[in-house]
Parts: sequence; structure tokens; C-alpha cells
Amino acid sequence: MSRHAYELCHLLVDDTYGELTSRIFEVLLFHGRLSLPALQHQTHLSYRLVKHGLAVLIQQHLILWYTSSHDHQTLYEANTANAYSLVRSGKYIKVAAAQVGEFAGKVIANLLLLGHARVGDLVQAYKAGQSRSTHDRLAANGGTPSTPLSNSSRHEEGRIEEQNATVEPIYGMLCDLLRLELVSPVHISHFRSDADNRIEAEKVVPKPEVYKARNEREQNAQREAGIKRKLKEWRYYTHGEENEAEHLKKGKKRLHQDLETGRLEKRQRLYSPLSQDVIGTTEEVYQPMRGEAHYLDNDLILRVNHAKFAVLIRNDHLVDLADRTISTSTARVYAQVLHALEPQVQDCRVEPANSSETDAEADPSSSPQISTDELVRAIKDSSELANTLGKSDDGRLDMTQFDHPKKRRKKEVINEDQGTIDIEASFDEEEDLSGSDEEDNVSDVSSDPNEVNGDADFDPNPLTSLPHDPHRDTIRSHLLVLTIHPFSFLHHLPKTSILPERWMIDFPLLTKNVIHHTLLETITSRHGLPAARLTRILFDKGRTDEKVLCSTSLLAQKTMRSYLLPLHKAGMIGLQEVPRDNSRNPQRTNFLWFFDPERCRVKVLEETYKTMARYLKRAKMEGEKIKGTVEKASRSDVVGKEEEFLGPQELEALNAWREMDKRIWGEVSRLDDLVACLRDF
Amino acid sequence: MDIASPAEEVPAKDEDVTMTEPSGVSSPKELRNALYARCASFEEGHVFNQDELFAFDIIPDNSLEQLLAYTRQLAKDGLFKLMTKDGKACWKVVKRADAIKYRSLSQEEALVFSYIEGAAREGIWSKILRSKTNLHMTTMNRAVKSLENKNMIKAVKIVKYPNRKTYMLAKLQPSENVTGGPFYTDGVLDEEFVHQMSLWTERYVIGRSWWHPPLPEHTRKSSSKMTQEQAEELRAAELRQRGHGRDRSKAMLPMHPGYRGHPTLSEVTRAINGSGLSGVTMKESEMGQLLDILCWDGRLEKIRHGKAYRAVKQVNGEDGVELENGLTESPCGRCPVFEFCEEGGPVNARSCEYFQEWLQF
Ligand code: SF4
Repeated sequence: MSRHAYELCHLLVDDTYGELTSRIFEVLLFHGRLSLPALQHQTHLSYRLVKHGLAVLIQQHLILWYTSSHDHQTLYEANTANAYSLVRSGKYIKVAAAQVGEFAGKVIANLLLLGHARVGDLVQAYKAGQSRSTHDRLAANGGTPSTPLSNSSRHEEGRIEEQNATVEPIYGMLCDLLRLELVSPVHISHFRSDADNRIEAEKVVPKPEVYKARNEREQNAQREAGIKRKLKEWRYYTHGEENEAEHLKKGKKRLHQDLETGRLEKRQRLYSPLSQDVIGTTEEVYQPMRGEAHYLDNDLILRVNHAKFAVLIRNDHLVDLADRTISTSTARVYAQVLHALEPQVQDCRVEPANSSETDAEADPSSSPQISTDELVRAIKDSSELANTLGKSDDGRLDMTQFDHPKKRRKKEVINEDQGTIDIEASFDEEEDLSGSDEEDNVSDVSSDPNEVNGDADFDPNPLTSLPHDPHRDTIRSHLLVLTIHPFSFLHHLPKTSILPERWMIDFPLLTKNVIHHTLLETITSRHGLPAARLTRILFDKGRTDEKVLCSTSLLAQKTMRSYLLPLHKAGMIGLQEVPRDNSRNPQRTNFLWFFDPERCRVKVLEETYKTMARYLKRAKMEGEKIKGTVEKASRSDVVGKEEEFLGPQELEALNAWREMDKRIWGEVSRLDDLVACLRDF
Repeated sequence: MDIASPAEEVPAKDEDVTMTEPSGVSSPKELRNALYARCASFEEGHVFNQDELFAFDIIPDNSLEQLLAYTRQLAKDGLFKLMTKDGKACWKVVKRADAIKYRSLSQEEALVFSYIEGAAREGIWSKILRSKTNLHMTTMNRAVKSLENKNMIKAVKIVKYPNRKTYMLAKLQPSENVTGGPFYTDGVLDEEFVHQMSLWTERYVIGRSWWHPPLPEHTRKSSSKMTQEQAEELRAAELRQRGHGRDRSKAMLPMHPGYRGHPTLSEVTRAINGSGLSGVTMKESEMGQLLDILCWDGRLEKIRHGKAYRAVKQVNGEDGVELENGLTESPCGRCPVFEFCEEGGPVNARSCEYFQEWLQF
């Protein structure tokens, strides 16, 4: 993150939580990790105020802290990721409301404001309906926000009017949120930076010697995997003990003891008020939900799970993209696919399980996938999908291309003369189909394609073999349309002898394409179509000299230069000098243009941060202009009766400001969409 | 019995003396003429090797010595051209008229001419010409000038290196490498032509890669109440639509995945040649270049592993949609002083006029 990103985070914190908090936050941002005395020194605040501010910031998950076991000194650090997420509050609320219900949206709004909250307190607050006071009570150690929230969450703030809500639905709703992973239990690791978490994980995970392996390297590798698992477990708060047990091939009991001692040791080591792993619970194996009943441990502490929200926001973005690039109906089917896959996707960015595994991407089983049958069941009504796909005039369709590749390879004969792809089922192929029933060698893809293996397991035309089911066919067609698209929205895994037909999303590839598309869209609208053309050529061809670029792009040299130079100046493309000899004479130097998508992405992201910061600055300044009126309008006796208390001029100014504020925040949210795409997807 | 190299010195004897010796039938001159006539009856540009010449049965006793003598004399007269292939000598026939022309050239001119001729349709850059001929700059320039005046060579513009003086034989058509293909006229990019061609191609692909659902019923019905004129207009519009292609529209729907009608390179090429839009016949490679450009412009996309083309559904600036994102539609996203804009700096968000404009808009 850069200076602009920091500035933005600071502005957001300032806007949401007020001055004291933002002052401490700012110091931590610009000075990095600090201890309490150092922080006090830098902020020029009293000890009491700093402590108070820190408490609020910790409660709100805006800072990370860590107490080292060496010197028992606690260091604080700004949590920029969460600070940035403040800008998304409105989106979070919308998503939660859409997924679980209006009420859930309100709970999310409150959780956002509070950072985290006990289940019991939440339930109490909503049950009693005295939200205001509960809110105050909850936030008592955090201090109430001094300025109103600037985005839509502000409207939710403190106005929970579920007067008659009984306990049961509240628990139910919280369970839903937990199940959908929109909220997650707070774990102590959530307050630590990645590096600190690693240190802790290294302490917990057994030493390399414990692992049974042939040599030291393998032991280390196993331990590394163990650490990774531990970190993941903390992060998502899942229980990996069983896996670990299996992995270590130890008795379960023994392991439990290990874990217990490990945990005890840690407890002693930790010099912190929050001494338990899962804050608020004491149970050894923790089960937040018991059985089917809507019951939650009242002591469980919940927070908003940003990672999952990012996934949902990404899904929305993808559906929107499918809508724009393919069609609304197809996008609707896609939305169902994404929705069905949601439980399988915890995080937008997935590291390969094992980085040394080079063929990780070749293994489709690691990516989230779903079978056709499940999808067909999930989509109840496909009537509105009827007539949404075009056919050629003669109505001829060829579905063989979607068969298993082995099958296809034989069938497809490209007829260059006619320029069309004809399907020729040869005679011997027909024989294969009838004569190899007992062969069952499907997975052996590496075998000679001409060998007659397992062909009988593939239906030459799945459409004809199935009982004709228009519902299924329509859905399947739309899914196939998605697979054809150059973005690779979807990946088709044809039916094999063991597995039914499935669909998979290769998220890393898809997001790479989407980011690329977004960058080029940015370039197109900023620098013009020819600029996009040049950039794409550079991307396709790699480093290119001006002459070649000129003839490939079919642009006159002058025109081309008039696009290249601004692109270069804007940092979208780069220029490399390759001297032909040692003289470094410019005339004896080759100049090669190149486009580095990663560099470009970072640059555009930076600019977006900066632009957002500009907007917030402006919003703040516009607000200051009519500060008095705004303050007056937000007085509790004035709210709702503005007309009585405010003069016509004040009223007009207020409305104008509100309008403007809305516009600015709307734009900031659009900018955030871009950040989400470029950074989080 | 091979000749090691054309440069090999054959003892220079008096021609007539050599010729009179073996055959009493024909004079050497007649024999030479016969040889020439025989060779000239072949298609132009045919290269004869030693064995072929012997096969004509013109050379008495198939004597190698005599053959060499004859061909040397013919080469001297400019009627044969001595060449080497795989280290062996071979010959090409030169037309009599050309030979006369050649003979009229000075030594330098002939040298220059031979290199230019050798470069054929690719042309030769004056700098290379000079280093090959090893002539002095002024001598060479003079030779080139005079050849140009005799209308034997011409200067051409190479599209990749427009500043290089390049020459080629006057009668030759410059190769595509030189002219840059049909998209260039006299070495200059014909932007209008490129534009027209790509428009046509794009429409063609759009029409074949998306389904354009028929107009909704109510617009159809209203046509019954239309005047004759209006109806005709509508029909014309529809015909135009149905012609070679279609315009992009938001209502387009994707084709069924089994649809195989997405145009391929050869289909597009055939279609555009059939349309008569271009005066010259377009080659597939040239159309490939054009289609590539359309892909790079983000207007077409390759599907089915690059074998077929499909139009991109939504394109910037069409249908009234600007595909903007948060950044590009912001005043800051287009701000000329973006880099300098800073809190407390000379340009900042508080006093920014672009912002003022945006807020008031
Ligand atoms: S605030 Fe104004 S001056 Fe600063 S970058 Fe934005 S538009 Fe430009």
C-alpha cells in the first residue's frame, strides 16, 4: 500500500470514528509498528487518551497488536485492510440483506460499526428493542462515534426498531449469517499481523523432527504444510484437528494432549487480556452451533467476515460482466452457478495448496465445481430462458465438441477449404463405439489418442441419449455458452465413467482475464481506441520495436506516436532501451515498448486510491462549509422536524449538501468497485 | 566433368580458331545461334545446366571445351547469363532486346544494374548497393541516374523504411514486403481504406455471430397502418440489415453453443472478395491482419481456439454506452495535474475547479 492508500484509510477512519481514533490511527499508519509509550510520544496525547483510543481501535479491528514472548512488549500496528473496508459498509449491508434478509443487513451494519460483538449482547439488544442504549453499552469501551457515518450505514446506526423481535428468529438469523460465513467467530489471530501469526503458528505446530519422513527436507515440507494449515484454520476458524491427526498418523488422544499442552503453554506465554484463542469461549472443542436447533452460544463473539463479502461482491461483478458480454439470461444462469459454489469459496485469492506442486492447476478437483444435476435442481424455472439462444438458419447444431477431448480429437476434422469444421465420424470409429464395452481406461489421457480406450464410456451425444428434458437442455446450453467465452467464465468437465458431467470455475484464470479487461477498458476510455489496440498488441507480442508495432497496428507512424507517448507518460506501458553495442549511442540503440499488466494494475490501483482520497477530502471540505447547519440538523430534537427549526436558506443548503454528499459517496463506491476488481478479486 | 566454378579461367584463345577445328558442318556462329534459339524456346527464366545443354545435341561431340566457349561468347554478347547453382555453372537466356539494352550500358551501369536485377521484387537499398558494387558514391549515383533515365530501374518506397532509397527493375511490381500490401498506397498507409474494410468486416461478423431476435410484434403490426412510403422505407432498412452484416445492438442474443456458423478467416476473406469492396483481391493473410486489428481494438474476439471470430457485444462508445469505470469518469481520472494534486499543494481537492464543475453538473 502506498501513501495515497494510507491517506485514504486515514480519511475513512476519521470520517467514521472521529478525531481521537483517527489521530492514533494516522500515527500508526505513517510510523509503522509502535509500542504504547512511543505512540504516546508521537501523538502528544495523554496516556489515558491513548489507551482509550487504542481500546476503541482494537474493538473496531482497525489495529493489530502483538505481544512478543521475549520482552512482553506489545506493539500496535494499523490494520489498513479493515480500514479500507469501511468504504464498503454500504455494500456489505446490501449483500447481507439480499442473502439473509433486511434484518441481517441491520445486524451487519451494527457489527461493522462495533467491530465485534457477543452473541448474547446482540440478542439482548435486538430483543429489548432499546437499541440506542444497548448500542451505547456495547460501544461503551469504544466511545460513541463522534461524527455520523457517512455512508449508508449511518442511516442504520442506532435505529434498530425490531421492537417485537423474539429471541428465536434472532438466533436463527445469526446462525444463517454464520453458516453463510458472512460473520465468523473472532479468533485471536485476527488481531495479529500475518507475520506475527506465523510466529505463533510456528510455536504451535510440532517441530520438524516429529514428522515421519525420509529426510530433513521432507520433514520441513510437512511442517510447512502444517503451519499453513494452522494459519488457515485460524483465519477461517475451522477445525483442522482431525486432519492433523490423520496427517501425523497419531492416536487422536495423544494429539489432543499435544494440542492441549500447546494451548496451555500459549496461554501462559500470552501477556494479554484476551488470553483465550476464541475470545469469549472456554470450551476445548468449540461448537458454536448445536444440532439443528437455532441456538448459539451467547458468549461467542462475532465479527464481519470481510473475505466472504469480497467473494460475494466478486460474484456480483462477474454476473454483471456476463450480462454485459453475453446476455441477461445467461448471466442469470451464471448467478446460480456462482451461488451454488459459494460454500466452496472462502476467499477470493487462493494460494495453491502446495506451491511446489507444479501441476496444481492441471488438477481440476481442487477448484470449486458442481454437477449438471445439482444445478438443474437448483434452477427451478427455466421458462424465461426459452428462446434466448440463437440458432443457425438450418438449425444444425453440433454438440460433439463438448464431448470428452479424446473423443473429440478423433471426430473433428478441420476442413480448411470450406472454412468450416466438419464432423466426420469414420467407419472405424463406429466400430470402436460398439466394440469396446469392457475397456475402462478413461483417466489415462496420456495414452495414445488413437488407441481404442474407454470410448464406450463416453456418450457420443449426451443430448440424444438422455431422455429429452428441455429444462436441462436449456440450462446446459447456457452453461456451454459461458464456457465458450474468452474470459473462461466457466469450465466444462465432460462426463467420465466415474463422475457425472461437472462445471468448474478456474477463478485465478478468470480473474486474470477480468482484470486485464478492466485495465484495457480504462485505457480505452482514457487514451482512445488506438491506444488500446497498441496495448493489446504489446501484450500479445511482447516487447516490440516501433517499426514492427507500426506495421502491425496499421497506424501511421505519427498517429501511433501520438498514442504511445501519452500511454508511456501515464505509466501504462514501458520503454526499454537495448543498446546494440557498447557505445550507448541512442542511434545505435533499440527501443522496445512493452506492456506489463501487473505494473499497470498497480498504477491504476494507486490512482484509484488517490482519486478516492480526493473525493473524501472534497466531501469533508464541503461538509465543513455548512458545518453549523449540519450539526443543527443532526440534533436529536431537530431530526425529522427540519422544516420547523431550519430557515429556508439553511434547508436549501442542507439539501444541496446532502445531494452532493450522496453523489460523492456514490462515486466513491464506484471507485471501490474498481479497487475490488483490481485488488481483491 | 564438372566445372568447378564459373570464375575459373579458361585460357582465352581466339574464338574462331577454336571453333573451326572440330565440326565441318556448321560455323561456330551458327551453332551459337542454334543453341540460343533452342534455349529461347523454353519458357522465360528457365535455368539450364550443363547436361541440359548437351542434351540439345547441338554441341559437336559434346565437347565441354566447346560448350564453354560458346556460352562464354553468348554471355559476352549479353544473350546468356552465367549463374551458379550448387557450385556448378548454369545459364539463363536473356531476351535479344534486353541484351541490346544491356550492351549499351557502361561498365558501372551494368554492374549496378545486375545487382538491382538480382534484388528482384524486394528492391535493394542504395547503401547496400554501394557496398556491394564497391563503387564510389558519385559514380554509383551517376550510374543509377542514367539507368533511371533509361527507364530500366525505378525508385520505390519501402513501407517499413520510408526513408531508404530503394531501387528495383522498372518492369517489376514491388513485393508486398515493400508496398505493405493492399493497405498501403504508394508506401503510405491508406487509413480510409483500412477503416472501410474493418467496418465491413465487423458488420459481417456481427451478423453471423449473434442472434438478432426479430422485432417485437407491436412494431410489426403498426406497419399495416403505414403509408406505402414508410413501408418501403422499412423494407429497405430491413434489407440493408440483412445484407452482408448487421449493427451491434444491446438486444443481440448469444448463439446456441452448438452453432458452428461463427465466421472463420477463410469465410471472411471469401465474403469480402465477393463484396467487391476492395479493388484488389484480399489474401487470407491480409484479412487475418485486419481481423487481428479488430480483435486488438476489442471489437471482435477469437473463439474456438482462435479458429473463428465473434463480435464483442458491447463496445465503448456505441449504443450510447460509455464503458466507464469509477476512475475514468471522475474528474481526477482525467485530470491533467493529477500527479501534482496534493493536500496543501498548489493544486488540491479543496480548491479544485474540475471538481466544482463535476459537482455542479
Ligand atoms: S482534485 Fe482536482 S486537481 Fe486534484 S486530481 Fe482531482 S481533478 Fe485534478
